Amino acid sequence: MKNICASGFKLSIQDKKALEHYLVVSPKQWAQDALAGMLNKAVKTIIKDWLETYKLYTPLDVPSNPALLIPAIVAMPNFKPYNRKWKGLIKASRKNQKDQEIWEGGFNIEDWQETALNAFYSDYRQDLYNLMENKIACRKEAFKHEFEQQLMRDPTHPSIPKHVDDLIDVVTAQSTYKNRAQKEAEISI
Amino acid sequence: MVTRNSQNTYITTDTNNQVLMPAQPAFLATHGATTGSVTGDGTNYNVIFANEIFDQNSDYNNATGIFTAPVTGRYLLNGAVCYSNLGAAHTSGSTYIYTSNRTYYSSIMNAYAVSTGGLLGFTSGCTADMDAADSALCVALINNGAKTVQVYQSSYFSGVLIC
Repeated sequence: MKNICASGFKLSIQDKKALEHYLVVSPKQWAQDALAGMLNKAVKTIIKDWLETYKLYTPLDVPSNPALLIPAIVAMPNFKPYNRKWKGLIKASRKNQKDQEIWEGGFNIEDWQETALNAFYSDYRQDLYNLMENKIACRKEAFKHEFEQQLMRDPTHPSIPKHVDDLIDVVTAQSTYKNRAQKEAEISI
Repeated sequence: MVTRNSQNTYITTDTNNQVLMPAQPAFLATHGATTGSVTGDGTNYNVIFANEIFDQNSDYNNATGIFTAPVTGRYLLNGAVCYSNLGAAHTSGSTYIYTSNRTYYSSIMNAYAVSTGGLLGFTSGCTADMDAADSALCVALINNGAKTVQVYQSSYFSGVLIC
């Protein structure tokens, strides 16, 4: 077992509000799910690409448990790491200090899982940081797109804040504002 | 024409102008077997479609039922859940697609009144905005009765990155 990203991840109060507008899980849970997705992709791709080669290499039957199979494949002398990197990720624009910790305690992964992540990604920890930052950036952009249009149609708002952080403060301060969790709590099935 | 990077062929067109994108994120998984009692009392059951038919870019996890978006984009997601063992008290329910950014409720209806024989299929589809590493899964929910409702084997979940 290994603990990763224990140094944490900090965001600003507006970052937090933008995430809460869309997410019903905590930012840490979102990152945990993202890490699970990264791991799934690494494991499946390695097995898909290398299983037949491994069958030729080993004199034994192939272990069905990925905890055994992945280290065995990666240990083959001709295995080549993928050095994959998440591309096209963006950074969030922010006015205020990032002082809200969201990854307290980091994440725990098994040793074989880290073997898979290291074999597939050039730097999986940095990728996870970049994905979290990209998530914040995408949600702030979506928030801006959603509410700039609303404010333009609202005669009680003669101006629209230029910076997305100011826009977030204005919108979330409205008495009628509700985030996703609050809106979904009202849905009765 | 074949266009490729160092690892994969990612676009091919043949002499009939048919375009294939073998690395484009796309998956389809079916349920494969009917579950035990998973909902009926208001339990939101994350359906695990374990029988993977295809998963072009290794983004679907058939142990958890979760699809993880490999890139920010628009994804067409479809889920169909067939319920069995419905009883008279099961008067409402929904099959919905949950994503990190939004929940797509659809097919909210009076389950038993429609089923008349204890079997009912709900479909749910959406074009979802997903950010890189976001999750999507298909959820089954039946309310107001005992937890006796099963997810039938013919249920499925699919998705593809469209733009």
